[in-house]
Amino acid sequence: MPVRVNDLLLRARPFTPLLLAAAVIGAALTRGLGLSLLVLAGGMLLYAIGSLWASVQSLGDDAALSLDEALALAAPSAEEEKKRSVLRALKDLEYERNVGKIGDADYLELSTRYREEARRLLRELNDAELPARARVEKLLARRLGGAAPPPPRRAPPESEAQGDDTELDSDTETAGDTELDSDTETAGDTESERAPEASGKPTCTECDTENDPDARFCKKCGEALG
Amino acid sequence: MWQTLPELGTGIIYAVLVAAAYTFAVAIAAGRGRPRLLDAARFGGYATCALIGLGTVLLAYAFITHDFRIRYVARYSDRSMPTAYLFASLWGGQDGSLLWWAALLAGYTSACLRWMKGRYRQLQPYVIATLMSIVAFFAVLMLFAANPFSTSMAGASLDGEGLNPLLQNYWMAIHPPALYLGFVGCAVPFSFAIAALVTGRLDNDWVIAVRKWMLFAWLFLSIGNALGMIWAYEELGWGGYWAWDPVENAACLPWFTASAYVHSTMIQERRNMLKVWNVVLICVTFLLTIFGTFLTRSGLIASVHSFAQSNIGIFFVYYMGFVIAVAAGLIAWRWRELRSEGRIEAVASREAAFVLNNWVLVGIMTFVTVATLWPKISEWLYKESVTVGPPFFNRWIAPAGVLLFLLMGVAPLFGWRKTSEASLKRAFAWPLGAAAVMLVLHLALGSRLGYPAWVHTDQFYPGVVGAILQKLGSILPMVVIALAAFNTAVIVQEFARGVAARQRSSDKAGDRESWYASLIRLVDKSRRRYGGYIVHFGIVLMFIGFTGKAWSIDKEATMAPGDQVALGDYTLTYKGSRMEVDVNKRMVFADVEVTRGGHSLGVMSPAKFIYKRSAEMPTTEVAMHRSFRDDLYLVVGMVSPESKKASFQLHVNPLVSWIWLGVVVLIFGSTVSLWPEMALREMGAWGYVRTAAAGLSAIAFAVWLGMSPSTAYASAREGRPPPTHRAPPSWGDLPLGGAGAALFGGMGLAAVAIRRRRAER
Repeated sequence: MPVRVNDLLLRARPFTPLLLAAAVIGAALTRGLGLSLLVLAGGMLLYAIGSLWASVQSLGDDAALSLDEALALAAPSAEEEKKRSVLRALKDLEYERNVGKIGDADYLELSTRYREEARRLLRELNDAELPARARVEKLLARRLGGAAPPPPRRAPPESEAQGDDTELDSDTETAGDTELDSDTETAGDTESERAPEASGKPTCTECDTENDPDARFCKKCGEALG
Repeated sequence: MWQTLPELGTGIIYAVLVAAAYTFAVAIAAGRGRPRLLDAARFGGYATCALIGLGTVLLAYAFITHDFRIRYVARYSDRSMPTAYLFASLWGGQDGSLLWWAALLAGYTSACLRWMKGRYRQLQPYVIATLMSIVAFFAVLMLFAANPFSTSMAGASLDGEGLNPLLQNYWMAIHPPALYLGFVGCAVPFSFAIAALVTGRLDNDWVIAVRKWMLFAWLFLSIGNALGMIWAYEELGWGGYWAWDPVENAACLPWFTASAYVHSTMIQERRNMLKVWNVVLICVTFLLTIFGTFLTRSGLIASVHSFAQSNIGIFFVYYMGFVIAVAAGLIAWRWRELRSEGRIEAVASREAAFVLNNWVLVGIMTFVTVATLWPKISEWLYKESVTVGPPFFNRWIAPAGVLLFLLMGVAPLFGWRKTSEASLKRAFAWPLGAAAVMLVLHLALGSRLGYPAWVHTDQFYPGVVGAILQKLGSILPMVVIALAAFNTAVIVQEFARGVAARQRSSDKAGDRESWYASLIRLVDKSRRRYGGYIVHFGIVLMFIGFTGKAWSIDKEATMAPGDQVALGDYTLTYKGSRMEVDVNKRMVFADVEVTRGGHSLGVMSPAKFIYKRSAEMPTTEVAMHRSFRDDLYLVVGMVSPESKKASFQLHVNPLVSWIWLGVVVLIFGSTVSLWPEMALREMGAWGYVRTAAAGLSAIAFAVWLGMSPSTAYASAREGRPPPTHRAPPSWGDLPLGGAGAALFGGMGLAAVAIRRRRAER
């Protein structure tokens, strides 16, 4: 029986502010402002007591943290922070080039520098995750009862880092806020306005996507470039 | 009926202190390795906020029921006051305003708790603990120094003393809550900064988290200061809107550092630089809100509108010392992590311009602080009492303000990191051209239009510095008008470049957008950036309004009925005086017929109101004729009942309306920046905060527009009977249209939120 009462109370909880508002307005209309303030005060007192009760009850709660809660406690690593900052820098550069605030030569110089930095950071982050990935693979294999899959590949050296561009692009799309999204959108357009031959940017023969000058595989479909 | 109300109120404040202390302890325990206690801390936070709300409602009840046993109620209300002003009395005096402060802090804390649910779990315990420590401070203050529920030793009086008539004005009714919203809002970013320092989570997460909170606080600091200006202009009757009074200065100090932070945070987000600077700016902004309250309450510096002198100043001194020690200690502890990872790559970059802008803003703040405190400092150091008045501030602040105005225009023209010479030339071409054209037009036509480019100013100091300041003062109006054109061109250019980029993009996609569709989508996609530009435009309008002071005309005249006086383009004819009486006061009006260029503008009736409760302090009721060109501002000093002779102070204040228009634009721009950027489903509780912020801004905007008194007393034309009198603006003037629009707007927002929430489920 008490469980049912609790359920009922829990179900009614979202409506309590509405009920209180109705009681306050009703009191104001029928008995004047003074009584409505007292009703409001009563509601607040009940809320305070309820919250304190819930707080005291939570004191003894020693249940394990959920995965989401545990993840929320984790802090990004210094490299992760730097990566976000560099990706943001690349977005800013694209936007500024698009609205004509930076010349092509400066853009190329800065963009190259930041792309290299981003690639280095991505590789470091990737390498740092390797032991954890290997552990996950082992656990999965044990769970599934099959043979262990091949161990995860180390990040290739810079000249072979085909996957980096893709990750960089996907990160660039998700890392920023809406402001950045618009920047990316407009920036990409300007970039593609320029002739690929002139900018030295290879175009994918399969999907016609223009890729970055140092890309070896298409960032959209994964086809090998030239 | 309610025999124990004062005791209950005091008990509730004790309960607030206990609940805040409990929540503080639980939150600290949650941060020290027992994350499960976080829920207990959150509930404790809600309970504390509810108790503060309960205390505030009880005090409101005491006002409504005229419970004159409570000293605060007896002192700041009486039985004849309308209900709206009874509510306004909640913050009309010192004790109640502290409770009001705590109530707003409770509102912020609840919103913050709701918003933080499920995120920033590592920062949360310390954010809650910091907020609770601030709540506890105010509870201690109320309990031991300024209890709003304390009773009068002599028992209940039959009637109260009533609210100061100067405060019975709707601007004054909404000015303190708006300003307090700004002041108290700075507590949330401060709490995040402290949490980041304690936990060592000094990445950009906390900076992004406090971005909107700080912008919200900044918006209300701006609105609060603007409302104070309007109140001073309309109610005090000295002809101006800003007198550099210590309390006014205290109100604007946090605005300077908050403005600096709003800009410098962008550098940290993009470049991982200025981490120490940003933490310091947030701590200083919070400290300045406490300092401002201290200055207003302690009676340290004589001010026309400080609260009665009391013993609570020392509490603030100790608290400020505590805050400085904690913040400085934490910054020193985390110094290594806070060191900058980036560097300014070129002088011609936006970050360099922002840093310069920060220096100027902080420089102005420091100057105003020192100048405000100078009478006291001089007394301590030199045993000499000095007065630092408006002329001193105006001489020194004006050049610094113009430098800031220049930086505001120049910064957006630079790109982040580096700007090439060719890009700079392209970016500066149009704005410089616009400034040059405006300069030539001003020099050629200014005198003819009544706004000469070169104005005469007196030398304030002897010597070279005085001569330089005098010369600067003479050319500043011309410089500001040229810079206004420059800034406007920069803003238009930024929008035009963005629109052009979008159109190129849509052309390429084969779906060409119209320019206005591009404009709307551009702003929609980058609200923070373009909202900021709109705010800049509001500031341009305000600067034009401030510059109007250079061309003002002030005159004093004693006139007998039938006398005429010329004031600029206006001709004023004094028709005579009359007296009217109502239950609260006697009203003496002096009717003045006004013509301009031969056309009648009607009869203006400045007045003196003599309230029965404060007959020794008659209030000045200004008569104003407003226009975008100038305001004709009439004040009557004395009227002889026998001869009907009256003494007048007459002012023509050019361009003042541009300031108010600028404030409206600023509110609009801030609202655009604050408007939720994501779909409601994605943004969760954040969205409610931002929606509430935007909704409140919209309501403030609607109320502002609706309540703006446009004609004051100059409403009669020739052939019509002169107006009898118009009472000072009151709550009765609140236009139903504006209130209704605000109400329906709020209901609409709520309906959308509820529908989305259901859809999400």
